[in-house]
Amino acid sequence: MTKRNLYIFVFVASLAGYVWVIVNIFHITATYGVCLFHKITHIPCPACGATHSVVSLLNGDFAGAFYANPFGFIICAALALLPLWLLFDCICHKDSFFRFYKNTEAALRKKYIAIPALVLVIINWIWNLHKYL
Amino acid sequence: MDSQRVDLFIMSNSKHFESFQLPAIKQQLLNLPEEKWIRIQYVQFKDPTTALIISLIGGCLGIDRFYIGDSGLGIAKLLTCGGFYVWTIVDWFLIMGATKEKNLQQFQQALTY
Repeated sequence: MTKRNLYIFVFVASLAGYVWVIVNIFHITATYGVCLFHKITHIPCPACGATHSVVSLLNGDFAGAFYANPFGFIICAALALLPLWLLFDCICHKDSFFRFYKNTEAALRKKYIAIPALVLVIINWIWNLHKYL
Repeated sequence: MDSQRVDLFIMSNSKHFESFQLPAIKQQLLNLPEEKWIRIQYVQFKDPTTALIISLIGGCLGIDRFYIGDSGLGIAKLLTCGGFYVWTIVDWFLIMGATKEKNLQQFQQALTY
């Protein structure tokens, strides 16, 4: 992926994320209201409850956010940081985010990082199944 | 490089690349020194059909993106439940092209090192 494509993609994704969070703050939908995976299979996906988690975080309810889905913390941090990072790179004509992205990709290919990350995702999914099934 | 060996390589790997990329790949292989040829032969290319099957089955978990080596996008897809499924459906059509693009990158990388 080229730098330009990555920046456009992250910008559009962040924008969509903000719109989705704002919609949910004013009109709370069901925890997995839009999850097609859940609608088709009746099984919650690993990300089910993430919107609820982000909204809880914005209301200052950390325990509720963790219970809804711990992914919410990562999404919240990404939504807060990424637009600022992109703006900084664009203004200063740097490619720090692009380099970070490439380094993260390379790190995730290493087994000692990939396997624990995968185990965490699976544990979270099992917890999701336990909560929402 | 021996043109027969190059033709054999192109025949056995044509499904891993876009058809319009094949003439350029053939030309590059013909001009390739012998010691790099061995390295090229051991490169493991990703199968676009396998990527499509993975995308159809585990697309909303981002497994297809992890498979082709786009770990960053894989995480984004996993965290957003396949981009609210919209991205998942878009990827059903894009993933084969993305896989071939990744294969070309891998091929070029093997040539430069």
